[in-house]
Amino acid sequence: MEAVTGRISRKMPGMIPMLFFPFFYLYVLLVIRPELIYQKQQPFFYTGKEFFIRYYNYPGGLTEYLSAFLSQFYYYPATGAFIITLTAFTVCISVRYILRGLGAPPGLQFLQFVPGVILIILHSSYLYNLSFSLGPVFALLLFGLFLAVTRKSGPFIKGGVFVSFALVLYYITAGPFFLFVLLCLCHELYTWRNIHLWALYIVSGTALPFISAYLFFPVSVNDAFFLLLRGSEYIRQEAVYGFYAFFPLIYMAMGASRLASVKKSRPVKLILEAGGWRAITTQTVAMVLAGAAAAFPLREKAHREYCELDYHSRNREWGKVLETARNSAVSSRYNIFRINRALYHQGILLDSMFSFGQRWGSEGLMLISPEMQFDLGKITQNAYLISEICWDMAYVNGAEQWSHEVVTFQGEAPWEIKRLALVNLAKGEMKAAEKFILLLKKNLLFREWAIKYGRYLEEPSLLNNDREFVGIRSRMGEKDFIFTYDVKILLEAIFNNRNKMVFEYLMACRLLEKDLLLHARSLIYFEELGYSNLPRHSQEALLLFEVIHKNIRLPPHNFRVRPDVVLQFKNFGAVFLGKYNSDLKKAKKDLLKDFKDTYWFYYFYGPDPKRKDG
Amino acid sequence: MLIILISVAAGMALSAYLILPAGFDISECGSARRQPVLDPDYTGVTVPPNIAPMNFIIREPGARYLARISSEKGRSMEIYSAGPEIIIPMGKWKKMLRANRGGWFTIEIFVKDESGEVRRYKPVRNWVAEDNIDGHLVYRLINLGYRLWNKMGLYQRNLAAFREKPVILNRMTGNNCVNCHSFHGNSPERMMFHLRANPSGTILVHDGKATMLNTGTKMGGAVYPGWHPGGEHIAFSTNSILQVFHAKGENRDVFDKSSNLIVYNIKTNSVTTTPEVSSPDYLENLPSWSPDGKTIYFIRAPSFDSHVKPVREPDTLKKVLRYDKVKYSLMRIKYDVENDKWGKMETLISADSTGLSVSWPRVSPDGRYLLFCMSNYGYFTIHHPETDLYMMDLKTGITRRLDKVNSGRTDSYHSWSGNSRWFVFSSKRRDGLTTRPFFCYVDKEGKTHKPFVLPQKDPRFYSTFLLCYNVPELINAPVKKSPQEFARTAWKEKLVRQVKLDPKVLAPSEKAPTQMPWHKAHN
Repeated sequence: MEAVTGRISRKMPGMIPMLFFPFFYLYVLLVIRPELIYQKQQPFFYTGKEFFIRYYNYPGGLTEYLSAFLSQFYYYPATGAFIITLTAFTVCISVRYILRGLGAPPGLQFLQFVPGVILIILHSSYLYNLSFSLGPVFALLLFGLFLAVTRKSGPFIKGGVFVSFALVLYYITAGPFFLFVLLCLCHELYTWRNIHLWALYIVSGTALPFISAYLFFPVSVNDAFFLLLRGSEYIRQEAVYGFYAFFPLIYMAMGASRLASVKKSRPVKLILEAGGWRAITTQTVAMVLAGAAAAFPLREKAHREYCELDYHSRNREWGKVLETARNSAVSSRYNIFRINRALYHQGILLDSMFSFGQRWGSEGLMLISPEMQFDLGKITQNAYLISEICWDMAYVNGAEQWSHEVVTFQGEAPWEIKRLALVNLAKGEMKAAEKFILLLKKNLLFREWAIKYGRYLEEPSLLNNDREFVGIRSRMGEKDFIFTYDVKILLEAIFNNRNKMVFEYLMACRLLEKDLLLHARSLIYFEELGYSNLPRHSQEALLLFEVIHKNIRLPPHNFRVRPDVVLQFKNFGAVFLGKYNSDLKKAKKDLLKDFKDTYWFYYFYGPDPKRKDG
Repeated sequence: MLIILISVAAGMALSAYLILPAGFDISECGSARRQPVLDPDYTGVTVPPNIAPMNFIIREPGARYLARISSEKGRSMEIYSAGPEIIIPMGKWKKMLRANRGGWFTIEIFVKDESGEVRRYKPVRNWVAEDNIDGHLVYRLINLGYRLWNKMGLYQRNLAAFREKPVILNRMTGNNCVNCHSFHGNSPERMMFHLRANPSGTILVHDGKATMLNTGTKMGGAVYPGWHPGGEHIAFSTNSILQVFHAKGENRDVFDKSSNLIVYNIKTNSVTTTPEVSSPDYLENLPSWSPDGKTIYFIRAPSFDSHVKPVREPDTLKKVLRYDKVKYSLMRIKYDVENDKWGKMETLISADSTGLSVSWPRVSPDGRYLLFCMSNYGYFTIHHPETDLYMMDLKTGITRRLDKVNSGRTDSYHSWSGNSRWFVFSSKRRDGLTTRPFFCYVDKEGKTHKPFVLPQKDPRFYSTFLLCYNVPELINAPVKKSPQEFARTAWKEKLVRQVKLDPKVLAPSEKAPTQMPWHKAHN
């Protein structure tokens, strides 16, 4: 029995990665979900020299190029999870190699998985770009190669190899080349070899980026030092620092281990040299649990939901949007924007919109507000969503305007390029459409789409058979106007009596802005647009209007309010007027119970201070 | 016997290889009876003797292609290609242009289809001008501009080759906005460009030294520049710019809420103006000097407020900008820079008489022609598809639309070559969307010739390139200062020179609206 245990314990270190990385892969695939990272980051890659030459003339460019190539495969969840796992695997195996080279005792073997855990935490933010991982991967691989090449070399050759490797690595990765320098320095310190080499490493590490920015590459000094090192400001910086700090800590741990063995410190020795498969299994489980525990709280729930809603919206999975929204604990203007859009596409916007907290008023319809025009941050964040809603509304120039904003700050994200191709096809600007379609032909994921739509360029009459185009063209407005950040004025300007979506949004806007008069005056359009019944919230608003504006006559219409809505309104009045004598504060609790999803509740308790009636 | 047979076979193979490369037998071919479609359109154009090879794509279906380029003097060249891209060898091209200065060259296209049949197209004849064009082009590469900007840069391109080098990239200066590059007398020795957002200011290169200016005074910050021929003064407009977006047609448009003219004196580091060119009742804009340095040409329209009209609606009174009524006239005013004396202003082209709006007046360096744009309204012509180029003969006063030059799309911002025989302009004729630099020859009689687009090494380049070539400016030598030097100048806050306002120009009066700088000038 003991012999069997011994064999297992000997094989166990090799088996741990076999447990760790499948778990890692499944975690990325099922919990983080690479397709959501794709949705968030919108990575893009185009084949051809023209795209490549953007990347070759600055340090770190090649890593960014490779990252752009690989990140596009996040689109496919399994491939995306594989790429992230492979990155983590390379980092962990490199650490394992370092540990083995240093003669680490079994008790420190678990350290090889620490970077993997940190990478999970980083990827959980959805904004962590693959290029930030690829840089350290190259640095670690080159460090491994450096150790192998210079194992028996003297200081002169070692220094020469270091400088050549550092130059190449700096050009490829920029900032992460510091990891290579740091590892070389730690290794040299650990082995107490040559003080001149220490100096060389330190001087190279600081001088190389500075000289490159000063003389060779058109980059700022800041970028020369830190590009691809710190990541974006939106990712967890403590995890980034932890990742880089981990490597010198290996050497410190090894130093401690050596010191302990020299001083014959029994407790430390016991911990470090704990062997046997039990110890190793315990360490592995501890690592996995630590990783999961660390990742879960750090994963921003709201962020994930944001990405999920985005993902479903983009794929026009309206049922899933509403399902995700119903289960969501977070309510943001972005979520409500997507919910309203999904409700419209499900045909129930004016029936169900007040079942969801419309606390952002009319801003939740198009994400446009007068304050936004001075807030470039908001413009940046909302642009792609506004572009989508404008396209839905057949407000083609609006879609074009906002897609171009996205392309400007984010680059040629294929979704936006696709939208711009569609916009120009809809406008009949075939040459401009061709440009975007030709570009998409260079994208691996959108190539097929581009080929299909490229046919419209050769045969524009085919557009008449395309339902989406026929729909868009039939709803496009005729008149010119200037874009405004006032959503009500904008919707009024876009509106024409062929455009049902804009009409429903305009009515929703009037309800959200509590403009009962304008809402009631617009009821005739329900008839013009072929509605057989008034939607529920419009019926509710009409009842309220009749109570508040008793003396105002409306243009005649043929709609009747359903008896159940009338009855519910009477009940509302009984609670509000009868029981609480119009005391809004006191009535709230009771009304919330039975009337939470009615327009009446929103009217009295909704956020908009610009109420025009009563 | 065997040796003889082998020799004969080898000889035949060799001659077939030499005479009929790539399997072309052009001795028996059908005629297409028309010229081929070349992209870019390099048919019937006049080119300078110092231009890079004009590589092109043959937009005709086929399996193999042959382009034979022959000229009056020198040997012809034949370029065989399995695809429609024709890449012309640099050395042979240069030699041909040198030998044929003032002459012509033809391009003959042969296309072989899948069945092996060869079609021959009517030859294309192009002309080589006597006169060189300035050797370098400086431009800004930017995204189609809306509210946001991100990556951009000023670049220079050697026109005789394909190498493009950055003058400054905004990633070196905190991703700010880099714009309005301008050169004195087509020379990079004295030049300037603006930086907006931090670091903010104007980089001025003068006497080999780069300095950063803060041009902000009570008159406003300097925007559109025009160098005085003496190189010691720059006329600027100060603009309060408003960007709007249309719902139909071209999306973008730009107006000024206010604008004035100022003149910056480099030596005294001060700006001055006169009420005639900085009136609150008018929008004065886009200054440009005459080559003798005595006159400033500019454009002027009634104030922004005069175009905002109240419109009564059922419930409200709205203010509506009647943007299509904002029309600029072409003006000029005398200004003696030595004695700081302003002369009388005169109207050269009145918007009332043409119904059109003038922009970007630029006098040729020899003082003979005034090149400008006209559009239906406004001055930001790059967003106006109807914009065309016009030329006024300053000797005769006759103005004509350049029909050979213009297209159905935007033809706008232009810059003269130092010898006045060439100008470059921005055109959206290729796709209606992105601007590309086109070059046009003006012969000694003042006739303009068919323009051509800046040649690229890869002839497919323009078909997917989304950035715009903005503000193309011709210069006679490369900008020698490195991007790093410019970036260092921009970041050195201590070296920023604050421009002073001429003490004769008093501060804006208290009654004037704060956004609209106004002053009283005392001469």
